[in-house]
Amino acid sequence: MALTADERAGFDDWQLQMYFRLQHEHGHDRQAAWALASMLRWHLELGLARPQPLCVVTGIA
Amino acid sequence: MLENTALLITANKRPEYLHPALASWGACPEIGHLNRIVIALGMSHRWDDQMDVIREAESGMGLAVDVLRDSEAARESPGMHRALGEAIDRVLSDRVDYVICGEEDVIVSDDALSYFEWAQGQYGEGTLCALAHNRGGTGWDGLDAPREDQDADQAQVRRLRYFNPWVWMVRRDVWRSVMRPVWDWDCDSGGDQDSGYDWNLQRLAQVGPWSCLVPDAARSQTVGRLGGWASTPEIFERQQARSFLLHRDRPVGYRLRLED
Repeated sequence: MALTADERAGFDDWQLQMYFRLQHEHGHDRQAAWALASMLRWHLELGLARPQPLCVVTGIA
Repeated sequence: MLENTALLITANKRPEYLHPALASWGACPEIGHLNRIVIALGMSHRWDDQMDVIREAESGMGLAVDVLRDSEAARESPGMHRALGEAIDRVLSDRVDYVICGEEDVIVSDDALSYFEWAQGQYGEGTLCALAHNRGGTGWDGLDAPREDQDADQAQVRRLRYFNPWVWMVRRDVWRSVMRPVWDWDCDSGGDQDSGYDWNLQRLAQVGPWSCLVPDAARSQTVGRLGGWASTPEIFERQQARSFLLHRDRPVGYRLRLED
Protein backbone atom coordinates (compact mmCIF):
# COMPACT_ATOMS: atom_id res chain seq x y z
CA MET A 1 0.00 0.00 0.00
CA ALA A 2 2.88 2.34 0.74
CA LEU A 3 3.94 4.42 -2.24
CA THR A 4 7.42 5.61 -3.04
CA ALA A 5 7.92 9.35 -3.20
CA ASP A 6 8.15 9.18 -7.00
CA GLU A 7 4.96 7.14 -7.26
CA ARG A 8 3.13 9.55 -5.00
CA ALA A 9 4.35 12.53 -7.02
CA GLY A 10 3.11 10.83 -10.18
CA PHE A 11 -0.35 10.25 -8.75
CA ASP A 12 -0.45 13.78 -7.35
CA ASP A 13 0.36 15.18 -10.77
CA TRP A 14 -2.24 12.98 -12.46
CA GLN A 15 -4.90 13.99 -9.96
CA LEU A 16 -4.13 17.68 -10.34
CA GLN A 17 -4.39 17.49 -14.11
CA MET A 18 -7.68 15.62 -13.82
CA TYR A 19 -8.95 18.20 -11.29
CA PHE A 20 -8.46 21.01 -13.81
CA ARG A 21 -9.71 18.98 -16.77
CA LEU A 22 -12.92 18.12 -14.97
CA GLN A 23 -13.55 21.79 -14.33
CA HIS A 24 -12.47 23.33 -17.60
CA GLU A 25 -13.29 20.62 -20.12
CA HIS A 26 -16.22 18.90 -18.47
CA GLY A 27 -17.93 21.70 -16.56
CA HIS A 28 -17.73 20.32 -13.03
CA ASP A 29 -17.54 22.71 -10.12
CA ARG A 30 -14.49 22.75 -7.87
CA GLN A 31 -16.00 20.50 -5.20
CA ALA A 32 -17.12 17.82 -7.62
CA ALA A 33 -13.89 18.03 -9.61
CA TRP A 34 -11.74 17.38 -6.54
CA ALA A 35 -14.00 14.58 -5.34
CA LEU A 36 -14.16 12.83 -8.70
CA ALA A 37 -10.45 13.28 -9.51
CA SER A 38 -9.59 11.88 -6.07
CA MET A 39 -11.89 8.90 -6.51
CA LEU A 40 -10.42 8.14 -9.94
CA ARG A 41 -6.90 8.50 -8.52
CA TRP A 42 -7.76 6.02 -5.78
CA HIS A 43 -8.87 3.44 -8.33
CA LEU A 44 -5.71 4.08 -10.34
CA GLU A 45 -3.54 3.62 -7.24
CA LEU A 46 -5.19 0.30 -6.48
CA GLY A 47 -4.74 -0.84 -10.06
CA LEU A 48 -8.51 -1.04 -10.58
CA ALA A 49 -10.42 -0.13 -13.69
CA ARG A 50 -12.23 3.19 -13.59
CA PRO A 51 -15.74 2.38 -12.38
CA GLN A 52 -18.26 2.94 -15.12
CA PRO A 53 -20.58 5.07 -12.96
CA LEU A 54 -17.75 7.52 -12.33
CA CYS A 55 -16.96 7.66 -16.02
CA VAL A 56 -20.57 8.57 -16.70
CA VAL A 57 -20.58 11.25 -14.00
CA THR A 58 -17.25 12.75 -14.95
CA GLY A 59 -17.58 12.54 -18.70
CA ILE A 60 -14.11 10.97 -18.76
CA ALA A 61 -13.95 7.88 -20.92
CA MET B 1 -32.54 20.73 5.25
CA LEU B 2 -28.90 19.93 5.84
CA GLU B 3 -28.08 23.37 7.24
CA ASN B 4 -28.80 21.91 10.69
CA THR B 5 -26.61 18.86 10.07
CA ALA B 6 -22.92 18.19 10.68
CA LEU B 7 -20.76 15.51 9.13
CA LEU B 8 -18.36 14.02 11.67
CA ILE B 9 -15.65 11.59 10.55
CA THR B 10 -13.45 9.77 13.04
CA ALA B 11 -9.93 9.21 11.80
CA ASN B 12 -6.72 7.86 13.18
CA LYS B 13 -3.77 6.58 11.19
CA ARG B 14 -4.86 5.61 7.68
CA PRO B 15 -4.65 8.59 5.32
CA GLU B 16 -4.67 6.22 2.34
CA TYR B 17 -8.29 5.48 3.26
CA LEU B 18 -9.28 8.92 4.53
CA HIS B 19 -8.52 10.38 1.10
CA PRO B 20 -11.09 8.32 -0.85
CA ALA B 21 -13.53 8.56 2.06
CA LEU B 22 -13.45 12.36 1.94
CA ALA B 23 -13.62 12.24 -1.85
CA SER B 24 -16.76 10.12 -1.71
CA TRP B 25 -18.41 12.63 0.62
CA GLY B 26 -17.29 15.38 -1.73
CA ALA B 27 -19.04 13.61 -4.60
CA CYS B 28 -22.37 14.21 -2.83
CA PRO B 29 -23.70 17.40 -4.46
CA GLU B 30 -25.26 18.51 -1.15
CA ILE B 31 -22.03 18.58 0.83
CA GLY B 32 -21.86 22.37 0.69
CA HIS B 33 -25.26 22.57 2.41
CA LEU B 34 -23.96 21.00 5.63
CA ASN B 35 -23.55 23.15 8.72
CA ARG B 36 -20.08 21.75 9.38
CA ILE B 37 -17.63 19.11 8.25
CA VAL B 38 -15.53 17.86 11.14
CA ILE B 39 -12.73 15.31 11.45
CA ALA B 40 -12.16 13.90 14.95
CA LEU B 41 -8.51 13.05 14.56
CA GLY B 42 -6.58 10.77 16.89
CA MET B 43 -2.91 11.28 17.58
CA SER B 44 -0.68 8.88 15.64
CA HIS B 45 2.59 8.70 13.75
CA ARG B 46 0.54 9.55 10.62
CA TRP B 47 -0.82 12.85 12.00
CA ASP B 48 0.99 15.00 9.43
CA ASP B 49 -0.11 12.74 6.57
CA GLN B 50 -3.70 12.90 7.78
CA MET B 51 -3.54 16.68 7.97
CA ASP B 52 -2.14 16.81 4.43
CA VAL B 53 -5.18 14.87 3.21
CA ILE B 54 -7.58 17.10 5.12
CA ARG B 55 -5.98 20.34 3.88
CA GLU B 56 -5.96 19.03 0.31
CA ALA B 57 -9.69 18.27 0.60
CA GLU B 58 -10.35 21.75 1.97
CA SER B 59 -8.50 23.56 -0.77
CA GLY B 60 -9.65 21.19 -3.49
CA MET B 61 -13.34 21.55 -2.64
CA GLY B 62 -13.25 25.09 -1.30
CA LEU B 63 -15.04 23.96 1.88
CA ALA B 64 -13.91 24.34 5.49
CA VAL B 65 -13.03 21.13 7.32
CA ASP B 66 -12.62 21.49 11.09
CA VAL B 67 -10.28 19.20 12.97
CA LEU B 68 -11.00 18.16 16.54
CA ARG B 69 -8.09 16.64 18.41
CA ASP B 70 -8.95 13.72 20.62
CA SER B 71 -8.91 14.58 24.33
CA GLU B 72 -6.34 13.09 26.66
CA ALA B 73 -9.03 10.82 28.11
CA ALA B 74 -9.94 9.63 24.61
CA ARG B 75 -6.30 8.94 23.77
CA GLU B 76 -6.00 6.77 26.86
CA SER B 77 -9.25 4.92 26.20
CA PRO B 78 -9.29 1.80 23.99
CA GLY B 79 -10.39 2.30 20.39
CA MET B 80 -12.28 5.33 19.16
CA HIS B 81 -15.43 4.91 21.25
CA ARG B 82 -14.77 7.72 23.72
CA ALA B 83 -13.33 9.90 20.96
CA LEU B 84 -16.52 9.53 18.92
CA GLY B 85 -18.84 10.16 21.88
CA GLU B 86 -16.93 13.27 22.90
CA ALA B 87 -16.87 14.53 19.33
CA ILE B 88 -20.65 14.11 18.98
CA ASP B 89 -21.06 16.11 22.19
CA ARG B 90 -18.86 18.87 20.80
CA VAL B 91 -20.48 19.02 17.37
CA LEU B 92 -24.15 19.07 18.41
CA SER B 93 -25.27 22.58 19.30
CA ASP B 94 -28.24 24.92 19.08
CA ARG B 95 -27.62 25.14 15.35
CA VAL B 96 -26.79 21.49 14.76
CA ASP B 97 -29.73 19.13 15.27
CA TYR B 98 -28.30 16.12 13.48
CA VAL B 99 -24.86 14.61 13.23
CA ILE B 100 -23.83 12.09 10.58
CA CYS B 101 -21.05 9.83 11.85
CA GLY B 102 -18.58 8.43 9.32
CA GLU B 103 -15.22 6.73 9.54
CA GLU B 104 -11.87 7.17 7.81
CA ASP B 105 -12.16 3.84 6.01
CA VAL B 106 -15.77 4.02 4.85
CA ILE B 107 -16.78 5.52 1.50
CA VAL B 108 -20.33 6.56 0.64
CA SER B 109 -22.59 6.68 -2.39
CA ASP B 110 -23.10 10.06 -4.01
CA ASP B 111 -26.73 10.04 -2.85
CA ALA B 112 -25.80 9.49 0.82
CA LEU B 113 -26.57 13.07 1.84
CA SER B 114 -29.83 13.24 -0.10
CA TYR B 115 -30.80 9.97 1.58
CA PHE B 116 -30.05 11.39 5.03
CA GLU B 117 -31.97 14.56 4.18
CA TRP B 118 -34.96 12.40 3.28
CA ALA B 119 -34.45 10.31 6.44
CA GLN B 120 -34.77 13.39 8.63
CA GLY B 121 -38.38 13.59 7.53
CA GLN B 122 -38.92 9.96 8.60
CA TYR B 123 -37.15 10.36 11.95
CA GLY B 124 -40.24 9.82 14.06
CA GLU B 125 -41.03 8.59 17.53
CA GLY B 126 -38.95 5.55 18.43
CA THR B 127 -36.25 6.17 15.84
CA LEU B 128 -32.80 5.56 17.26
CA CYS B 129 -30.87 6.64 14.16
CA ALA B 130 -30.74 6.41 10.38
CA LEU B 131 -28.16 4.10 8.82
CA ALA B 132 -26.39 4.46 5.49
CA HIS B 133 -25.48 0.80 5.42
CA ASN B 134 -27.89 -2.02 4.87
CA ARG B 135 -28.19 -5.13 6.96
CA GLY B 136 -25.02 -7.21 6.95
CA GLY B 137 -21.25 -7.21 7.25
CA THR B 138 -20.83 -6.78 10.99
CA GLY B 139 -19.76 -9.21 13.67
CA TRP B 140 -23.36 -9.65 14.82
CA ASP B 141 -24.51 -10.45 11.29
CA GLY B 142 -22.14 -13.38 10.97
CA LEU B 143 -19.27 -13.36 8.50
CA ASP B 144 -19.14 -16.95 7.38
CA ALA B 145 -19.91 -16.32 3.70
CA PRO B 146 -19.91 -13.51 1.12
CA ARG B 147 -22.95 -11.29 1.21
CA GLU B 148 -25.76 -11.76 -1.29
CA ASP B 149 -27.49 -8.41 -1.34
CA GLN B 150 -26.78 -7.60 -4.99
CA ASP B 151 -30.48 -7.61 -5.91
CA ALA B 152 -31.57 -5.30 -3.09
CA ASP B 153 -34.21 -2.68 -3.85
CA GLN B 154 -32.25 0.54 -4.39
CA ALA B 155 -35.04 2.80 -3.11
CA GLN B 156 -36.58 0.88 -0.23
CA VAL B 157 -35.92 1.71 3.44
CA ARG B 158 -37.20 -0.14 6.50
CA ARG B 159 -37.49 0.42 10.22
CA LEU B 160 -35.53 -2.41 11.79
CA ARG B 161 -34.28 -3.33 15.23
CA TYR B 162 -30.80 -3.35 13.82
CA PHE B 163 -27.70 -1.15 13.98
CA ASN B 164 -24.70 -0.93 11.68
CA PRO B 165 -21.85 1.50 12.36
CA TRP B 166 -20.80 2.21 8.77
CA VAL B 167 -22.20 5.75 8.68
CA TRP B 168 -25.24 6.70 10.70
CA MET B 169 -27.15 9.83 11.67
CA VAL B 170 -28.55 10.70 15.08
CA ARG B 171 -30.75 13.58 16.20
CA ARG B 172 -29.61 15.76 19.10
CA ASP B 173 -32.44 14.90 21.50
CA VAL B 174 -32.03 11.15 20.92
CA TRP B 175 -28.29 11.43 21.43
CA ARG B 176 -28.67 13.27 24.70
CA SER B 177 -31.57 11.34 26.22
CA VAL B 178 -31.08 7.82 24.84
CA MET B 179 -27.64 7.10 23.42
CA ARG B 180 -25.34 9.21 25.51
CA PRO B 181 -26.39 7.75 28.90
CA VAL B 182 -25.57 4.20 27.74
CA TRP B 183 -22.64 5.02 25.44
CA ASP B 184 -19.77 2.56 25.81
CA TRP B 185 -17.22 5.26 26.57
CA ASP B 186 -14.36 2.94 27.48
CA CYS B 187 -15.26 -0.08 25.38
CA ASP B 188 -16.00 -2.29 28.34
CA SER B 189 -19.74 -2.93 28.13
CA GLY B 190 -19.29 -6.56 27.09
CA GLY B 191 -16.49 -9.04 26.55
CA ASP B 192 -13.28 -8.80 24.54
CA GLN B 193 -15.08 -9.40 21.25
CA ASP B 194 -18.42 -7.69 21.81
CA SER B 195 -17.72 -4.38 23.51
CA GLY B 196 -17.82 -0.94 21.98
CA TYR B 197 -20.43 1.62 21.07
CA ASP B 198 -21.40 -0.39 17.98
CA TRP B 199 -22.18 -3.59 19.85
CA ASN B 200 -23.91 -1.53 22.50
CA LEU B 201 -26.18 0.26 20.01
CA GLN B 202 -26.98 -3.03 18.34
CA ARG B 203 -28.10 -4.41 21.70
CA LEU B 204 -30.11 -1.23 22.36
CA ALA B 205 -31.84 -1.55 18.99
CA GLN B 206 -32.63 -5.21 19.61
CA VAL B 207 -34.35 -4.75 22.96
CA GLY B 208 -36.57 -1.99 21.66
CA PRO B 209 -38.60 0.11 21.63
CA TRP B 210 -36.01 1.68 19.35
CA SER B 211 -35.57 0.99 15.67
CA CYS B 212 -33.28 2.34 12.96
CA LEU B 213 -34.00 3.47 9.43
CA VAL B 214 -32.13 0.94 7.29
CA PRO B 215 -31.90 1.06 3.48
CA ASP B 216 -32.19 -2.23 1.61
CA ALA B 217 -29.23 -1.17 -0.56
CA ALA B 218 -26.04 0.08 1.06
CA ARG B 219 -25.08 3.75 0.84
CA SER B 220 -21.71 3.02 2.42
CA GLN B 221 -18.90 0.55 1.96
CA THR B 222 -15.90 -0.24 4.12
CA VAL B 223 -12.60 0.11 2.27
CA GLY B 224 -10.42 -0.72 5.27
CA ARG B 225 -8.78 -3.84 3.96
CA LEU B 226 -5.66 -3.29 6.06
CA GLY B 227 -4.85 -1.87 9.45
CA GLY B 228 -8.26 -2.09 11.10
CA TRP B 229 -9.20 -3.74 14.34
CA ALA B 230 -10.17 -7.42 13.95
CA SER B 231 -10.05 -7.16 10.17
CA THR B 232 -8.29 -9.47 7.78
CA PRO B 233 -8.41 -9.52 3.96
CA GLU B 234 -10.68 -12.57 4.17
CA ILE B 235 -13.10 -10.91 6.56
CA PHE B 236 -12.95 -7.76 4.48
CA GLU B 237 -14.21 -9.61 1.40
CA ARG B 238 -17.15 -10.97 3.37
CA GLN B 239 -18.04 -7.49 4.62
CA GLN B 240 -18.48 -6.03 1.15
CA ALA B 241 -22.03 -5.01 0.29
CA ARG B 242 -22.90 -6.07 -3.27
CA SER B 243 -25.73 -3.54 -3.40
CA PHE B 244 -23.43 -0.57 -2.89
CA LEU B 245 -23.21 1.91 -5.78
CA LEU B 246 -20.85 4.86 -6.02
CA HIS B 247 -23.38 6.72 -8.14
CA ARG B 248 -27.16 6.75 -8.44
CA ASP B 249 -29.10 8.78 -10.97
CA ARG B 250 -31.28 11.45 -9.39
CA PRO B 251 -33.79 11.70 -8.04
CA VAL B 252 -33.86 8.47 -6.05
CA GLY B 253 -37.43 7.91 -4.88
CA TYR B 254 -36.73 6.70 -1.35
CA ARG B 255 -39.61 4.63 -0.09
CA LEU B 256 -40.29 3.64 3.51
CA ARG B 257 -41.68 0.15 3.85
CA LEU B 258 -44.26 0.61 6.56
CA GLU B 259 -45.08 -2.99 7.43
CA ASP B 260 -41.69 -3.43 9.12
